[in-house]
Amino acid sequence: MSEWLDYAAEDFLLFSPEAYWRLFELMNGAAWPAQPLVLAAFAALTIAALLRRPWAVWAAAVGLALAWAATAYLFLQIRYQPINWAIAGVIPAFWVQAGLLVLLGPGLDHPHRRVGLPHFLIILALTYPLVGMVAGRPIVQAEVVGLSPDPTAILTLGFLGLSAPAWRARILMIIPMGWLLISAATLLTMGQPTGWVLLLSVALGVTVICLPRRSS
Amino acid sequence: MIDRRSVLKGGAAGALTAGAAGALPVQALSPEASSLGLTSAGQAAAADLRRIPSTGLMLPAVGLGSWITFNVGNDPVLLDRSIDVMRAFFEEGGGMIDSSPMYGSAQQTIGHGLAELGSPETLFSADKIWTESGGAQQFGDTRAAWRTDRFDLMQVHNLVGVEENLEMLFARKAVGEIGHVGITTSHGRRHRDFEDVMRRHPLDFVQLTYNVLDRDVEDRLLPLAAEKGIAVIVNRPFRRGALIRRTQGAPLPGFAAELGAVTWADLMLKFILSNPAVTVVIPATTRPDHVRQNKVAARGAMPGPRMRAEIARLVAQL
Repeated sequence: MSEWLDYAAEDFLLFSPEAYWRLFELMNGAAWPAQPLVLAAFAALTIAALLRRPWAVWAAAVGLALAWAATAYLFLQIRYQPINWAIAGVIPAFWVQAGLLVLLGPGLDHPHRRVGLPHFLIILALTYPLVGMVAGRPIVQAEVVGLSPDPTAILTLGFLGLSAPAWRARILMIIPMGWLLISAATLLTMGQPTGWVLLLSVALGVTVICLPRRSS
Repeated sequence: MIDRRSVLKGGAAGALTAGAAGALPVQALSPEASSLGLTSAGQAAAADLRRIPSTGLMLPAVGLGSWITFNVGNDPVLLDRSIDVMRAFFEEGGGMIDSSPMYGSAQQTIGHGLAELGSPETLFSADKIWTESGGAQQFGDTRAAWRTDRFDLMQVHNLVGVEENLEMLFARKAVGEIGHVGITTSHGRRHRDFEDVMRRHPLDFVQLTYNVLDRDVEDRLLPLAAEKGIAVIVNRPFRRGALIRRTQGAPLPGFAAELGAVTWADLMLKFILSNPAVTVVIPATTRPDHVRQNKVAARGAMPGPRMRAEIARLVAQL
């Protein structure tokens, strides 16, 4: 397969930014009013985590499992794959992540009590539609957690940053980080500055999940 | 509208002139033309229709690419816009529409558009095989996407599985499922291998990247194509839009008016089409007005060698 070595990153950018963002517009129209319901559910879980409810993290893990499954089907399979054949290889990873969250999520605990970087990632994910608006896109093209992959991955990293034991969190972070790197590369190749937000999220995710941390 | 018989069968007098002019090497331009910086009237006409050397068919010099622009999935709004682009293309004489299995949903978009437009007679259908093995299966998938049984041209995309795929394509050509066979490259990739295949196989077409800044093919590939009677398709005439952005806002040179060029895009297309080795250029666009403008660019006077050099120099400086 030496032919592949001849290609540059831009050669694999098969679609325009317009076609890409229109995918979210079409999905949002079809899924409405799921968006406010999903946001409300994860906001409630975030508040529960801030209030140190012991069930908050594993409940979020189960919710995230549903979010990864919904994103795999509603966005990747129905919308994205028709314009990006490479996504066919990514969809199974999203289903694997959903399965891992179901398997490992109930064993997660929430030992961290201070508000910190994990909460920043969670807030970033829940307010991600604003990122698109700041970048100049209309609200109808908003990327909403539970339906769109980027905020779903960021939210996952945020909740994992709150959770223990670390080995479970580190297993569960692999696919979200992999996705965010792929998506960042795609967005930056398209000239979309929001790709930097994803790279920042990866850096913060590594910081809160992989570096030694103290329980308070 | 030019019908398929006059365009593709080489019946028009202008088309015959075009074919003759199309065989001239760049160096053969007359001193008068050079001093004026313009080609002759006959060569100006040549820009509109070009002859495919191996079969003698005439083809509009400006075709339509589908890379990125027609990859719109199931989006009804963007599908409709793609149909508008195709409609404008056929209203301006039609010609080659080129796609590839690599281009996402572009093949399906074209098939959808052709069905909506009633499969226009002036279509010259061109697609590619892009797989190491299983070329026959991919050919079938491509026919299904276009909703057609026959292609005017089928190419091996970026030399992937080139020997095996060419064998399959020549066999299909022999039974009439394909009109012409070719190979492609883009972005200056694998030119030595490309040249080797050109020398060893009886190709009808080659497709390569050529524009005001990417001119490597002028050294060997374009002269070789002219020598062997291989038609040349030019892709990425604007470097995927980068050259349009580069020239945006820059004043046009004074001689642009002599060529009938009103935009830098016109000038850059004329630069490509004024190379006599070039048969078709296939800019991709999402705008019907750009389709029409691209077609107009092929119909006016063409730059001579001095103007060509000046166009390239000016764009390089921007």
